[in-house]
Order: sequence, then C-alpha cells, then structure tokens
Amino acid sequence: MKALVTTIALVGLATTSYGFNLQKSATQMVQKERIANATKKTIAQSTTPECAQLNGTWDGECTRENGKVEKTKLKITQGTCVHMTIQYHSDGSDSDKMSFDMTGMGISNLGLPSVFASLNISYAGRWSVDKNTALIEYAGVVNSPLLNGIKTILGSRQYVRQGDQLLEFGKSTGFEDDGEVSCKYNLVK
Amino acid sequence: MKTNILRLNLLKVYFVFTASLYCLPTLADGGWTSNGGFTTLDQNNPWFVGDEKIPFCFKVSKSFGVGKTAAEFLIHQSSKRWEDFFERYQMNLGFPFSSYYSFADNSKKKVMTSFEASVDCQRTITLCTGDSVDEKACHEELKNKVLFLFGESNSVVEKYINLNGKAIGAAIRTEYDHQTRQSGGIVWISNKRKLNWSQISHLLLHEMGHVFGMKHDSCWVMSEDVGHFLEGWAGIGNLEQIESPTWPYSYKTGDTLLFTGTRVTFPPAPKGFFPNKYSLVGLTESLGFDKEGFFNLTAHVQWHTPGTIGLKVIFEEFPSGKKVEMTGKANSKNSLRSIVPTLYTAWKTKDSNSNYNTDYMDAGWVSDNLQGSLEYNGKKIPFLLDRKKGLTMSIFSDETGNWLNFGSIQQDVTTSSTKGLSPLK
Repeated sequence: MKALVTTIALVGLATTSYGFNLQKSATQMVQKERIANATKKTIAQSTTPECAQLNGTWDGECTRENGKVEKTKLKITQGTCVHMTIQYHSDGSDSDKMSFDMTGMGISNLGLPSVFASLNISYAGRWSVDKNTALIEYAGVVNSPLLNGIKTILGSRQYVRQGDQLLEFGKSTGFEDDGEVSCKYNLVK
Repeated sequence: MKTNILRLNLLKVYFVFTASLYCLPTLADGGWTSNGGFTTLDQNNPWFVGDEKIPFCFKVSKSFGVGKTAAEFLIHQSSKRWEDFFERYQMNLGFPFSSYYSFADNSKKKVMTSFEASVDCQRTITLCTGDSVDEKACHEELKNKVLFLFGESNSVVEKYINLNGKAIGAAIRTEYDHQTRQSGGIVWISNKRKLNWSQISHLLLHEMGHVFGMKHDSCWVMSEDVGHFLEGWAGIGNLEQIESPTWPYSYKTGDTLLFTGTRVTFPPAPKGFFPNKYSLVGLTESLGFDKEGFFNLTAHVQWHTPGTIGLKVIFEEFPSGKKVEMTGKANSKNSLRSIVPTLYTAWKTKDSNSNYNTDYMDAGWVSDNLQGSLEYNGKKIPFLLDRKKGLTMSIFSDETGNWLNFGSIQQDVTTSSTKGLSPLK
C-alpha cells in the first residue's frame, strides 16, 4: 500500500492539459513576464549554475527519514527554464514522466479504476531567483476504498545542482512513510 | 534566577521584525558592565575572525518547512553566497584595514565565513534547547560555536520573542570575547509563518549576514524590513539574493541597476514597467514617449572609481520598444561608512599597546549621494543617485522644474499584504 500511495502521488505530479487551461486563463502579458523572469540573470550571479545544468540522467540513492536507502535514477529534460520533465526509474521500472511548468502551476486529476482510487494533486513550480534550485510544492487528495479514509497530501521537492552532483530534497505529509527524503545523484555520462 | 537574568543580559540580539529592527540596549548592557565599561560599539562585530571554520550545530523542528539535510545544505549555501559576495567586492582581505592598527601578533584576520559540523552537538542541543535552558550553561557552550534553530526554540529565544511576537528570525550573540575575538550564539528561524524553501533561505542569508558583521540596510538581503517583506505574498521576486539590481551593496563596473522594480500595478503593467502618465510626468515629452505607455529605467555602470561613477541610463518604453539612452558621470558627495562591516576591539597602535577602537573592513566607505549630469540631445540633465533603502535616482525635469524620483525598492518591500494582489484582467 505504501508503494501504491507513493506511486499514485508521484504520478499525480504529472501535468495534464487542465494545468495548461489554467495558464490560459492568465493574461498573455503575465505569461510573457513569467517567461522573461524565468530566463533572465540578475546581479551577482555569474558563478551560479543555471537551470539547464539540471539536465541529464542522474544515478544515485535516496535516504528516507526512517533510514531506508533506495537506489534511484532519474532523467531531467528541459527545453528552457520554463518546462521541466522528470522521469524516475526505481526498482527496474520506469515511472510516468512528470512535467512541470516552472513559471506557474498545474493540476492533475487522475482516475485509477484498477485500484479504485481517485487523485487530485496540484503543484506550483518555480526557480529560485538565482536559477540554481528548482522548487516544487504540491498538495493533493487521495481517496480509495483501499484506504482507511481520504488522505491529504502536502509536500515539497527541491532539485539543486552542486558541482558534479544533483541534490534532491523532499518533505511530505500524508504518505505512509511521511517525512523527509534526501537524494544525491551523479551524472550518468 | 538572578544569575540567569544576568547571563541573559550578556546576549546581544538582532531581531528581524515585521517592521523594524528592535534593539535591546537595556538587556544588552550586561556584557560591558561585567567587562569594565564597554559600549555597544562591538554589537556589529563579526562573530568570528581568523582562519578557522565556524563550528555549528543545528536542530530542525519536525513541522519546519525543510528537513534536516536540506537545512544543513542551506547553511552551507548561505555561507558560500556570502563568500561570493565578499569576493565580488574584495572586501574580506582581513582586519585591520587601517595601517594605524594591528593585532598583537601583527596578523591579518579575515571574517570567518565557512562552517563545519561540531563534534559534540548532542551536548550542545541538550544544553541549549527545550523550555528550561540553563542560560548560563548554554552561554558558555555557545561561546565559540553557532547553534541554528530551525522552527525550534529555547527559553533564551523565547524571552526575546516575548518582547516582539512578530519576530520571525534572530541572530542572538553571546558576549563578545575581545581576547579570542569570537562570540558564538544562536541563529533562529521561526516556524510560525510556515516559511517555504526560498523564504527560509532568504531569512537564513539575512541572519548569517549578521554573523559575518553585515549591518541592516547595507544591501538587499540585510533590509531591516525583511520580515515584513516575507510576510507579504506579492512582490516576491528577489528571494535568496544578497544584492539585487535595485539594492546593491555598492557600485561595480558592468552591473545593471534597476529603478523600476517589481511592483504589481493596477491597471496591469508589465513587470518592471511603470505607467508614463503617473511616474514620468515632466519627462514624457522630452523623451518622446507616449503618455499612455509604460517605461522601464535601468542604468549600466560603465566605470567606477572611488568617488566617481560613469553611467549609461536607459529609458525603455512599452509597448513601442523605444529606447532613450543618456550617458553621464557623477561624483560622490558622501562617503557612506555606516553600512561597512566593522570590528571594534583592542588594537595595538603606534601610540599604545592596547586601545579599543573601530576598524572598517575594506576601504571603509561606499559612494553615496552621487551628483552629476546626463547628456541627452545636446543638453545636460542634472541627476542624483542615492541610497535610501535601495537606490533612488532623481532626474531634473526642464518641463516642470521639478526633480523626478525613481526608486523601486520601497515598492518591492512594502507591497501591501493586507489588500492582496490586485486582479489582473
């Protein structure tokens, strides 16, 4: 069940067309500003890695708060600093791709009839001003007859490039294995 | 109890309040009383000078916005950002800067900016966290180490919070030791605002600035209004930066300065643009701009020598894209010393073996109150460049005979959180 809920939540971070519909409701001007703001560099940032440096296939391990260590691989692709796609590979299988609009937000509304679960997760993604940290906050609700009750999920993830490594920090509540997770990856060349 | 109060008095505190810095002179006077009449002149001293690394411990509340690993990462990241800042200005070359002073061993001592995990944190956390801390023992424990409390607190912090419940961060220092030239303390980040990663990182950067001797309002992250800024949710574009284009520490060749900041306007204007008809009255015609348009004002620092600056000032209009450039130079009429980090301690001087005095880091001043003129269409337009919680440029308008002021930082900081974000239509 833990794996199920975890998988559901990760899948739920994916962007659906609904997310883009939300974006469309914002004015074109605001969208342009966001994109301009997402790509520009400002004062005193010459030594800071840019967002594109997160791109690549990364291999490493994640340590959970309870001490459990998992080998993890992930692939990050970005056309620009605006759209970011993350695909995790755990236990020999590929997860769904998660796509983030790093200048706005998205809502995922998935029906999973095989496990009698329905899931809504919304996320907001942005870059830190110096473009070295991808910040994603999410909240969602999980409901299934297989669960004791409706579960509310809250969490955040941060992806930071540090030297040759990619660091990932996560913190969540609502999962069976609540708490923080920290991952350290090396670039697969 | 009496001992505890006395010991508490030895602590000096820098609070980040939602509105202003709150000084605690009456609580801080124990330090110099017990050491023979020192004054508050050492209150802005960097906590550690020397060649070593600063030992630290930390504790993170379960409900805090980031976890332990992330908190430790942020400590080192903030430290690195300050190192980059000092490197950018070549500031941290070592005290004393003045040739009049020297340490007894004639060494130069840099502000220590790197942290390393202390080996005995369990003891530190046992002594210094919880509701009933023995403040004397905790003070002794923290004399040469920093304890970061993320969402955690202790009775020392609580006593200060009680003086202003709106504090969301603090750097609380132990009594300055003029023998070792070190003082440890507590860096506290509140949990009550449910700060996110960027907000925590920004606040930590601010508090660590105090650890390194940086003063309030010396640059963007050291704004004394940082708490207010973090409470509001509009205008949140510049977190995790020590400087911003609207509020650099000083002038640096190649930098771009910004005078039309991130204000959210109604009716909507592009980010970084202000409406001509409200903010450019008296210059629209001279610039050939449309009264219904918007403008953005930047300045490129073309060169900078002590006391003089060369600028290219650019007005850009939206949506026409029209650009008007003016170049000029200005001379500093005021060497600003109040924002420069200082070390107040005992020096060996040419006249005396031990003399308490203040030495300034670096050259000890920043150009301010710059006055000059810009060339445009064969005319000379007077302009001023000031630091007033960020940069303000004033340009004289022939059309109205008035000075037009362009400064965006106040709007960055004080965007109203009570009215919320104006709807964009």
